[in-house]
Amino acid sequence: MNRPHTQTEPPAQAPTQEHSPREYYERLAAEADAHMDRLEAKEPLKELTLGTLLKRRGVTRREFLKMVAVTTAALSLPSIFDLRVARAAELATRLPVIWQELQSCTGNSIALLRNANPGVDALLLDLISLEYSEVLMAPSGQAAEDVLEAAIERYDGQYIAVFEGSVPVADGGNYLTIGPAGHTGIEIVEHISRHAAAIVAAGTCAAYGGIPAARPNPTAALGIADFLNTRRINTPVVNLPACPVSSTNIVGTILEYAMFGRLPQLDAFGRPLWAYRDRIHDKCERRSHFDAGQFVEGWNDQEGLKRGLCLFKVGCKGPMAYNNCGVVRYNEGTSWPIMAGHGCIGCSEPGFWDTMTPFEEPLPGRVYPLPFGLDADADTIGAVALGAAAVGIAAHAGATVVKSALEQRQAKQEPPKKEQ
Amino acid sequence: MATSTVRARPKAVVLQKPGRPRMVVYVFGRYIRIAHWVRNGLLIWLVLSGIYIGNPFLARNLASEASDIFIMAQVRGWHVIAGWILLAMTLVRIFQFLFIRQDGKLGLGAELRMAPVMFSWRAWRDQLAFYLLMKRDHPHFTYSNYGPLQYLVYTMLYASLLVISVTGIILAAPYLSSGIAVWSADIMRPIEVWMGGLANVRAVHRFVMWFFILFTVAHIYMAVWNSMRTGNLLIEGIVSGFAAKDDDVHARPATDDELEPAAKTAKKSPTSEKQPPKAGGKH
Ligand code: HEM
Ligand code: SF4
Ligand code: SF4
Repeated sequence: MNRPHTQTEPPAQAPTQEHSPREYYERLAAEADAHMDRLEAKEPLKELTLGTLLKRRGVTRREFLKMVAVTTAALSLPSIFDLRVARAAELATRLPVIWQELQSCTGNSIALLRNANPGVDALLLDLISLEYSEVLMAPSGQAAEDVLEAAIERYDGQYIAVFEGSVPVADGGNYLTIGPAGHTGIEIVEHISRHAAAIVAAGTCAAYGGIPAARPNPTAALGIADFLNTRRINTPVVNLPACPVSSTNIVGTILEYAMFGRLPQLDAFGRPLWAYRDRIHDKCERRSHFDAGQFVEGWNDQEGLKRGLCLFKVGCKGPMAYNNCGVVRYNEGTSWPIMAGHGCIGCSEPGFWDTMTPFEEPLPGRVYPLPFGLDADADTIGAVALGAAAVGIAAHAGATVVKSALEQRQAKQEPPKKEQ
Repeated sequence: MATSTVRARPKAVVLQKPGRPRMVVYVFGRYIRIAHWVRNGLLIWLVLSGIYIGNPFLARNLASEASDIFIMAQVRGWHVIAGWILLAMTLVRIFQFLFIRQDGKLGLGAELRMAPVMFSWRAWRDQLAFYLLMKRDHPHFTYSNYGPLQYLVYTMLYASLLVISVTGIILAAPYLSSGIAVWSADIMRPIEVWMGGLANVRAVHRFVMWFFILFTVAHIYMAVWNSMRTGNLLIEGIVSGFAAKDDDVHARPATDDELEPAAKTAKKSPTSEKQPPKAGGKH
């Protein structure tokens, strides 16, 4: 288990004030058990069971439990939940999921699929009842459309809708049309969301608009939650931003839903607290160098790079980005950007792209759009204003000198006033 | 408050210079002067340390282990401490502005009552004419210690101090596990969301810093210029407490063209009659 603190720290969902952590977790476990009993009573939607899957994949039960323990820790849950998470994985065959691509690069699907080793993530993908996924399914065209319609009808109000990509709303939504009938992204998201039990916005584009929403946002791209707000659809949404979102965070969210039947506690930007409570900076292995003022000075600073100094001066946005990359890491926990030697680019934050560029300079380097192509960063704008003030002051001071001289001459020529 | 002194001080001194104000009076109380210079020092430190935090410019020390030195942590720490002190002083000042009456008691603040100066077309005209060298005499506002321009700029200054404090506290909170910054940042979460995350909060923080730099340059120039042009000894005043009462209509017989607008004001705006001109005042 790579996060010992999760043992003692009360989890995000905790109404902790009234209960001791122990009591709290016991209640939480009871809630999970009750929900999973209900779920177990339902018919599985798939023939496949966890046992056959493990056998097919050549994974022993022991290995599987080890993998589950990692996921449990990532979920900020103590080890009494290990077996419950395993049970949730087993019951995932009863969870219908519709995975809809929108204005996206399918990077999040790819990140989930390209797991070299059979981790829980890959297993879960086989286990959940993925009713519709353009990337994975065999049917296409009208046949695919029929599958989607059938799934929506059959699991009305029960399925989880996972969206990947943003919704372009400019030009009546015509920037994104899918399928033989040419439905726009707007129509598709409205339709799927109205009948879903819960929505997972996978990746930054689905969460906040992401790269398509970067200035000047020609397609007027919106994240799912923002879009649904404009349509007054209030199906609950979990945002799982990052580019791409780590498979642990997707799988964790789905397992959590299977376990409790409800969405996790979210932060102010709609992200699950168990994954996005801390900043990259708070869990960064280079942090001691930040506090010490030891920074990599540039990409040719061999010594700094070799010593693993803090990447702040080469643009790390870790202090502004909430995510758990440094804890769960990518590619089966092999590495993550800062470990590999590049700063965080803050991909899991709202406004990502515009608010985080330039990626390889500290934040004051951000360039703001100004009229007449005079785009400039804050310091240039400030310095120009200061220069203008200096010119104004010089002009005013000069004028004052001239004026005073004139006044004095006038005073000499004119006869003094009565009393002087 | 302005004229209260502990030791026996001369309350007014008559100056001899022709064509200049004749009275030197105690206008800036001890607290005002100390606060002015403390704030000045804090601002300089906050700007310097802020620029370091934004893009650290000090040479790194690789001779020591990272675990033994805390350059950034200390600069950040003292930045935040200075920020809190500045915020505390700002809150005192804003309280005084809003709620301290002329007689020093609680109520609708004396300075708040001076706000009409900002909306008086006549006040703007007189003051701009003075600054644009079209009029020799400093305009005299019987109902306000400040000219309209000062009133506007000082209001903006205190509003910006609030903005930079709010954004600063939001930036400070993620580094801490508990305490006043954490719970105030929790309360201000909607502001953080409205701004669009920490990156934007930080950008706002930096823009407001530039406002302070601009304000400081303009403020120093205006004060020096005013002091020289009218001989009101303002610059000396913020150090010693004593400044010349500029344009003191009661110290000498009023001239004809001074009487004329005064007569008009009396007819047009009754406010000018309500409060007698005060000895204390910052211009
Ligand atoms: C006149 C007052 C102030 C000035 C001029 C100032 C200036 C700055 C500047 C330039 C930065 C760097 C921002 C960037 O990356 O571009 C900064 C950062 C910061 N300021 Fe201030 N600041 C002021 C007041 C405050 C106050 C009142 C607080 C808090 C109580 C505060 C807390 C912070 C913190 C915590 C950071 C670091 C942000 C981070 O490390 O992520 N500042 N300040
Ligand atoms: S590398 Fe980035 S996240 Fe890590 S300590 Fe430095 S600034 Fe923070
Ligand atoms: S380290 Fe930063 S940029 Fe990289 S994936 Fe994580 S949040 Fe995104």
